[in-house]
Amino acid sequence: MVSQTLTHSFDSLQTAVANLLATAVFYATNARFKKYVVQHVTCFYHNQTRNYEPFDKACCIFASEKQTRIYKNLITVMEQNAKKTTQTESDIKSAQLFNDFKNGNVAAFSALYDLHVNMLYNYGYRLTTDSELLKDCIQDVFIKIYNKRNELDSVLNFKSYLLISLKNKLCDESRKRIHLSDVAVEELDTVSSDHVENDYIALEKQHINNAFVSRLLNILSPRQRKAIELYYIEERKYEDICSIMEMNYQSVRNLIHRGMIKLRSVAC
Amino acid sequence: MHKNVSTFTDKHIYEFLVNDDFINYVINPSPALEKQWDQFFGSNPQLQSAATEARSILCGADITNNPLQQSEYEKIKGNILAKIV
Repeated sequence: MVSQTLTHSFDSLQTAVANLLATAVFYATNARFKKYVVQHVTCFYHNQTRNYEPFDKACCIFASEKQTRIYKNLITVMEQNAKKTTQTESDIKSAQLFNDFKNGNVAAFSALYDLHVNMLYNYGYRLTTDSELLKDCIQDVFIKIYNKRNELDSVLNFKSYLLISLKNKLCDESRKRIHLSDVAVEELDTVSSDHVENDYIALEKQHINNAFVSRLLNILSPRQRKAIELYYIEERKYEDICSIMEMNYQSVRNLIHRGMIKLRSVAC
Repeated sequence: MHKNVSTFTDKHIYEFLVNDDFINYVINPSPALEKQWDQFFGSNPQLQSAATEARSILCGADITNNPLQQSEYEKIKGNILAKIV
């Protein structure tokens, strides 16, 4: 069913591209340009993401800014068309089914099951390898959504509700099993379920800190820097640093002490 | 509850897959969600490929990878219909 929809949509996409290129006769005669436009829009159509590589290449063909601007407008129109076509074609049927389902039509609900169960199973399979658990959860989620049909307002809502409910159900069930199996949660090798954005914020902060520290270290004299790196980063003892740097104990202490004063004065 | 995640990208795909905001952004986007995620990918372009993969899973584009057996498909459907009717 899904592959049929995709093929169907792709035919319309090709028609859309052809129509648009026909309206821009000048550009359509440029084979390279045509290739890049098709690549760009196809990528956008399938993934709903913009692949700027063909876009940039296409822009290089144009000598003037005006031409580039026309091309950019063209691309925008094509993206909008692609989006519109996807929405109208694939969703009319499910929207109709959804309305019937909201009115309590069991046949429509059964058809919605047919449309979504494979997608849902495949999604769940990425979250758990326990296929029995997965099948039980899918069953529960469909029963739950039938009982909650009055709370949903569109078929898109129906689909995201299915996905999110399944994910939550799988989480709950595995939590229950962990509880029953007496294994501490900390001992499980799980991926943090924190928002992916938080990881990146943390990573970003670390990068900023590292850059800040390395900028600070650059203001030290080479010997101060070496002594401080040995002491704070490599965590060597004063005695080791004395022999590495061929200095006596008091000189090393003074060197590190003066270096730290310098760092503090800059950092504050 | 999930498979051992072997690579960096797999981890990111997984994290997109369990993110409610991302699911809504893919399936049922609002202008606010589109803006939020456009900004996110603007500053984290390295996550774009993981997001594309997660998107295709959520859209059901790669269902041939782990198909549900026909008998199972019918069995689950039968159980559901028996419980709601």
